[in-house]
Amino acid sequence: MIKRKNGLNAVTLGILLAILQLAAAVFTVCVGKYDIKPLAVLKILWCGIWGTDSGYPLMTVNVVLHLRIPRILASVLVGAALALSGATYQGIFCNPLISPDFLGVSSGACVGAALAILLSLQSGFIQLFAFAGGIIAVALALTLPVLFRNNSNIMLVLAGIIVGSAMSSIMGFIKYVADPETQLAAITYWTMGSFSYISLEDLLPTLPLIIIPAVILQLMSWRIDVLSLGEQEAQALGVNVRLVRGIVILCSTLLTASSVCIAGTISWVGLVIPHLGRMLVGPNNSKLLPVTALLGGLFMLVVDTLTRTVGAAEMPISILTGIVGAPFYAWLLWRQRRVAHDI
Amino acid sequence: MIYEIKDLRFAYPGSSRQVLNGVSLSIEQGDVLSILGPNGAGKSTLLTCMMALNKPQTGKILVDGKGLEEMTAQELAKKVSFVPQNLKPVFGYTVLEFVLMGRAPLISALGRPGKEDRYAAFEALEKMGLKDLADRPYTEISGGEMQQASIARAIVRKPEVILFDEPTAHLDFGNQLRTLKVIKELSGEGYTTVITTHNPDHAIMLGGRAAILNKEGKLMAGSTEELVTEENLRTVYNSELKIRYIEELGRNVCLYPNI
Repeated sequence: MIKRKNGLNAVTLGILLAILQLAAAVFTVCVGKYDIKPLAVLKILWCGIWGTDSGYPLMTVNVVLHLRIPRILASVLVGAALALSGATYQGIFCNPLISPDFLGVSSGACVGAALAILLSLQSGFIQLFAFAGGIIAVALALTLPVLFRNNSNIMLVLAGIIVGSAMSSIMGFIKYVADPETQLAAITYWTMGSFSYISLEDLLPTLPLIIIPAVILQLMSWRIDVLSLGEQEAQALGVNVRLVRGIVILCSTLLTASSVCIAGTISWVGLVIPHLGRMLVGPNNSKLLPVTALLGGLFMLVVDTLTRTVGAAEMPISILTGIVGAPFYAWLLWRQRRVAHDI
Repeated sequence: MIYEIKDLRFAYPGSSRQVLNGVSLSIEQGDVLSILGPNGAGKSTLLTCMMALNKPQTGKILVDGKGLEEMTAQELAKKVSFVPQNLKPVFGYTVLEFVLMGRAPLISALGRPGKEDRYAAFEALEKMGLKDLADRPYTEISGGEMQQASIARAIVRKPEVILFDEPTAHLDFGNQLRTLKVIKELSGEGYTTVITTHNPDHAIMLGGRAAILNKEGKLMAGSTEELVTEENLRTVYNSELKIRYIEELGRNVCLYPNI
């Protein structure tokens, strides 16, 4: 009775993307300044898990286990988290032009990290400060509409702009007073995003902060569908708009703040990848969210591998996501001209 | 009595104009009620207040004897469906997915539509003649079809009352007629239906009860025959409309004067 045009597609596509992801991960462990054969990688990994000696030189083992694998895990996680929070934000605010940092998460996190660098704190504190900064910025953006007694979507978007600009000014001030020789460079480099200094020890604490919100969002995907019809529509359909929106914002903020904590601010991914997902499987969030997360992870893995293999020195990741993301977004908008026109 | 509206007053924030100025109205089970009024009189505002989308400054709205402010959105949505005036689709959900969302008040917070919901959705689509469009993105169907889909979404949860906000506003003659027929059918099936319109003919065609909301935000209600008169229309629309009986149609019609 029910013939669905793209029902099976989403599942097949998901499996396909997962396989592709795995293949890309294996491939990217092998490439870099220091070439390693795929078989060696598998053996080192196997022996690493069991704690036995693989017989390869310590340096090769270190590159695989302590440099490349954490980095690959991190890039996949961050890409997935950013794409996921972008997709859900675009859904609940009924606006496909919104990116995950529109409530000020990224700018808040930058201020937090810059503050930690200014105070010459250790790298663990930079992460902690970044996370706290992101959460505080979003909390501020959510408080403004309450103060104005207007809890509409548009007011939230405006509050995000206000908080974002305020954070940028604070950021400017911190940069102004920072030591130009050391601190300013560190701040600038941090804000452009990088996976270079990832270690498993840094990555593990953020893991639950990414996985739990992702699972909650998936469970709520149908409510997000209803909310994406518009605020009033959803309320007339019996949805507790404030509650659902609150939970979704909390989850998305945790996702973005954790990514910023891991790799600094990375632009474009959260904005562009959800569009690609919608083009492939449609707007239905129960299919869109997993597919978007996989696409985001894959995209980030590829881009990060490019940053460390193309050119003599390693590039900050936002430079490449911008170079790849902007034309890609333009192409997507051109593909969906009619939809873009409706916006 | 299903809806009881008492002395409702409403003004939009920051505006001094009283859109609803002491509106009282009761709606009985099975009523067909047409709310007439000029553009900007606040017909839609009245409906949004009845759907708890706007909060009146004073006055009370009771649904089945229970105050709206004591009801959750879900409780209200189980009893009352709202067909909005114009949809602004952003994402291209299929017509089936769109209609399924009408089941939201019957589905738990973390749940998703099941077999029964799908069955109800297909039933609603069939009734509105949209079965062939089930898999089409609802951003790609015509205005008339979108109106039908919106009505299908309203009936899919089998509410007691359906509120239609200007259901004929953006449709051509054929689609207007079809929509009115559907409303009459639904009322025949026992749904209580309320529509807003600025066309007196639509109120006459639907029969039943009528209410007129004027620019001062005052509402008068009665049967269509006693309310839709030349005199009332003259004051409401500020023009000399004519009501004539047309033998061929067996009913009154509302005609424009010469310009």
